[in-house]
Amino acid sequence: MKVSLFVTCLTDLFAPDVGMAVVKTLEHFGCSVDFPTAQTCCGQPAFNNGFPAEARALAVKMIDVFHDADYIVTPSGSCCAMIRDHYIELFHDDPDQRKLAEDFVARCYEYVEFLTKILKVDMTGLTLPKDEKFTYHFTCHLRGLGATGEPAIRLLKQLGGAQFTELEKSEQCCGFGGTFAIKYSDISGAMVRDKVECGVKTGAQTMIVNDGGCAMNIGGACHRMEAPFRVRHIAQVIAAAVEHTAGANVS
Amino acid sequence: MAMSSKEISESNQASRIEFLTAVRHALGHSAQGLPPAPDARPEIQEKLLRQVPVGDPRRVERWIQQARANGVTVLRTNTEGIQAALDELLTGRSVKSIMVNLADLPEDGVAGHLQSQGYQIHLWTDPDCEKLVFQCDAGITDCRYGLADTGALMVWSDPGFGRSTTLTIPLHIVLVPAVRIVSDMIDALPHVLRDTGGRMASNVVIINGPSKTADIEMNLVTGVHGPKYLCAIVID
Amino acid sequence: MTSTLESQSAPKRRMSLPVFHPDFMTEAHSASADTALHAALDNSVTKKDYGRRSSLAELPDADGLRQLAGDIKRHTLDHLDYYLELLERNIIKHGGKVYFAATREQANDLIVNIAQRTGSKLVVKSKSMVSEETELNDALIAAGIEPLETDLGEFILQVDHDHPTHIVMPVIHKNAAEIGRVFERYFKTPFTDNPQELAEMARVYLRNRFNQADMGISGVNFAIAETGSIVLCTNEGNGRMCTTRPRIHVALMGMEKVIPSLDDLPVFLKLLARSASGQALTQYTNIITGCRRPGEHDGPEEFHLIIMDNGRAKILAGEYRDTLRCIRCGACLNACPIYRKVGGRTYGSVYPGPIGALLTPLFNGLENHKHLPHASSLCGACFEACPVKINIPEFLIKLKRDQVEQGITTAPERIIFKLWSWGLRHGWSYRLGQIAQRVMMRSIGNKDGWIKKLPPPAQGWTAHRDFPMPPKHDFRYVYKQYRAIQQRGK
Repeated sequence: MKVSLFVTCLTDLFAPDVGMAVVKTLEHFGCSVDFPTAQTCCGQPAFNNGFPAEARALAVKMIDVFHDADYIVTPSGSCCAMIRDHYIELFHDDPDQRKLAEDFVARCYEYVEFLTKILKVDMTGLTLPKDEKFTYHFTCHLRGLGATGEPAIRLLKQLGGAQFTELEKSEQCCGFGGTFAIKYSDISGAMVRDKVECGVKTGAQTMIVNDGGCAMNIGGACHRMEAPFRVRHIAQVIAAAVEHTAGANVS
Repeated sequence: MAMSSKEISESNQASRIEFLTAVRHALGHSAQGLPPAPDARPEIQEKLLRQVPVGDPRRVERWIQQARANGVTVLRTNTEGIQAALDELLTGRSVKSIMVNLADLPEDGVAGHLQSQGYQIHLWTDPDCEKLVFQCDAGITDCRYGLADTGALMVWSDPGFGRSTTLTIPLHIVLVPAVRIVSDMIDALPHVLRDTGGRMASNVVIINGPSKTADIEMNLVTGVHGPKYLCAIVID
Repeated sequence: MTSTLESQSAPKRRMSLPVFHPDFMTEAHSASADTALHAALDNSVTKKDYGRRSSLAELPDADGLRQLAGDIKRHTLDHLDYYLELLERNIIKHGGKVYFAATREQANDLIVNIAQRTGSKLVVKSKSMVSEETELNDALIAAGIEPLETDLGEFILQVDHDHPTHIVMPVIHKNAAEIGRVFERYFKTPFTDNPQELAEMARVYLRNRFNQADMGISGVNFAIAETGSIVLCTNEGNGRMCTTRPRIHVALMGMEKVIPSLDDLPVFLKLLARSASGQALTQYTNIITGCRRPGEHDGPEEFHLIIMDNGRAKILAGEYRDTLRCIRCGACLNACPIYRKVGGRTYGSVYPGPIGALLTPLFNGLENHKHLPHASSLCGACFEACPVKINIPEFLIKLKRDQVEQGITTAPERIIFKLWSWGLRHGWSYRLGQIAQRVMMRSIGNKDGWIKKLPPPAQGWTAHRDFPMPPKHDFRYVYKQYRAIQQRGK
């Protein structure tokens, strides 16, 4: 299966290891992965702030960059939701571009969605480097994909050495919301503190997320509050298990 | 200075036309009050609503279970056992006066028995019943239907059955004929029109338990304005 | 940061909804730090949200039922003139009177007139958000008529001269001790904070007044056009008292509350209480058709229904029509992560929470409520909770679009987004931007890889959390190296 990676602007700059984890894990599960370098941004910040024309211009570029990709996979739930929920309507008055958008949208997947719905992976053969207690924060924009936290949790539970514990108010937004975290930082701050406190209560070593924004927000709050857990993108955890298991197999 | 009825009616006519014109304009309707096309109506589907199957043989048991979960005290007996059940429910509750108002079941047996037990009995046919019901310690009514999906009771008013007995007294005992327990709300509601010959009763109430509130720091308090104690005698 | 939205200036047009304070940001700032408020809200709205989910799971197909409820509301709104006239005809048929009030002043005038004409001096009120919208109590008092709130929460607020902060649970912002102090002052009795005792004090006081009252005023949860009925869903019994004991019953409704037929009612009854609080039904579902019939011994002698516009027709006309589907269940407030941190008072309007963030600017003008469409992370919890499927996040984005088109959004913000979009359209400017950001951030970051203080306009972020420093190499670089190594390996 040929997959083209949409890495997202945040992951590109702030979390290259998450992008690499997506590449390596997809390759492990039998895909060939390419990275069209002309990609930039899905346009979500402009769209969410009331600038659809600016978002549309970026959508045109995105659709063009990936025009011959079979599958487009992204580690960001919110970017995928932006594409799936809004890209088609952005071209409501342009039938040709709209058709291109429909075709593009049909080929786009969020990372966990791709693993579970298309690749239908079974991770029971994989083991983590050491036993780890996880909890899971439900990235709210996955709602836009009609998804729940179930698939991600199911995958995590399959990993050897993984112990899962439920996060209180797991579906409550962490307070990122893009520009919201800066413009309404007091409210955002209260929201992320709540999220960290719930995380601390679980006793988990790691909180798993599926979005770069959540990772930066909760991770930044964890560091400020000196929380005893770290934040990881699910791709990083799976990649660690893949690498450890491969190493163990070799030796 | 208050407007007279005529003045109100005239100014209201003008307001009415202005109001409805604004609505029609908003909707882009030119013609007046045309009904929507028959196929425009969203279809009410039973499969989305029904929680208890039609004619469920266990609907009486279901009703009892749900009613108890709602905080209703439920006894089950047959016609012969009604009086004993009433005695049981009234004992030790400092009840002196009782309003008895039954819509369909005969009142004589109940009223006569309770009188013989020493209670002061009032009936809805008494003059001043509206005032008396406010002073009684207990009220005994029947119900039109029981709804097994939620354990609720349905009552409605007519000249022989008032609104107040199910509302103003602190202890409300309901006689529930088991044959009146239907599976689901969607079975009960059509009766509201059917049983009254197509004319809505002035006041229909679906009662789902004792009066309650959680307004004060989410603490549950019962018996705010409606009855504090709701009891049911299911009669097979 | 200085807001990209201009500070609130004096309102430029007549506002249909009363506003209790204009300053969203100041209120949000203090509420966000109020951990006692957060605990109170977690104990109330968060619990109700979980109650909603578990009770909806009992339905055979909750999502399908919500879709149907939304469709019925959409259909009714699309033919609202027909259904309002049908409702009117059927109410008159059962001996009631119907009035149409274009504005909230007219609604108040009509009610005052009815009170004066019937010699009503004491009015008991069942909870009605529309009467908060019209500020009916003030109008009655000005006319020498005494209004008395009988819903326990509303009664507490009335004697304390305060406003509700939630559509369904009006007084969640006060704890038992605060309520105890309110009653201590009002009833001049020794202090207690025991909820049972406090409720009992209110019950005893209000019970007599139900009988003394000349008129009862209620809201309307649903008005059934086919039968000429209004439906009241309550828990305490005060709604029934208000509409049974006094001789005059006046009901006040927003025009969007009508539903076509009795067959439609269970669709909404099976969703309303579950969505609001997780109960299958409220304790009392009261279907009222007219007044006391000949031969009946209780019930009011007169029934009056006032149907109010107050700005709804304008909303009906535009692309926000579906916001009128709202059945005022409060589920969106309960689900909202922002509401859970700032509470209802922050919104400053009769209608708080996500639906309030839509309705308040729609009624009063975007220029008067610049922050409300923005104070959302667009998480979608409200849309997921809404029993009639109002796509609140979608509408909030539309409102922001309108703000840009109306020139309410400031020039700097418009320019920033135009530049940003342009920059991202070209590979070279994107790369340049990434490099510039990386260089700048790495220069202000610490050795441990975190930034403690971002410069304006982003300083709000680091007021509350650290910001990750971009790694030395971005993904493009790392990926390129990875592929190069793979190639060499071949």
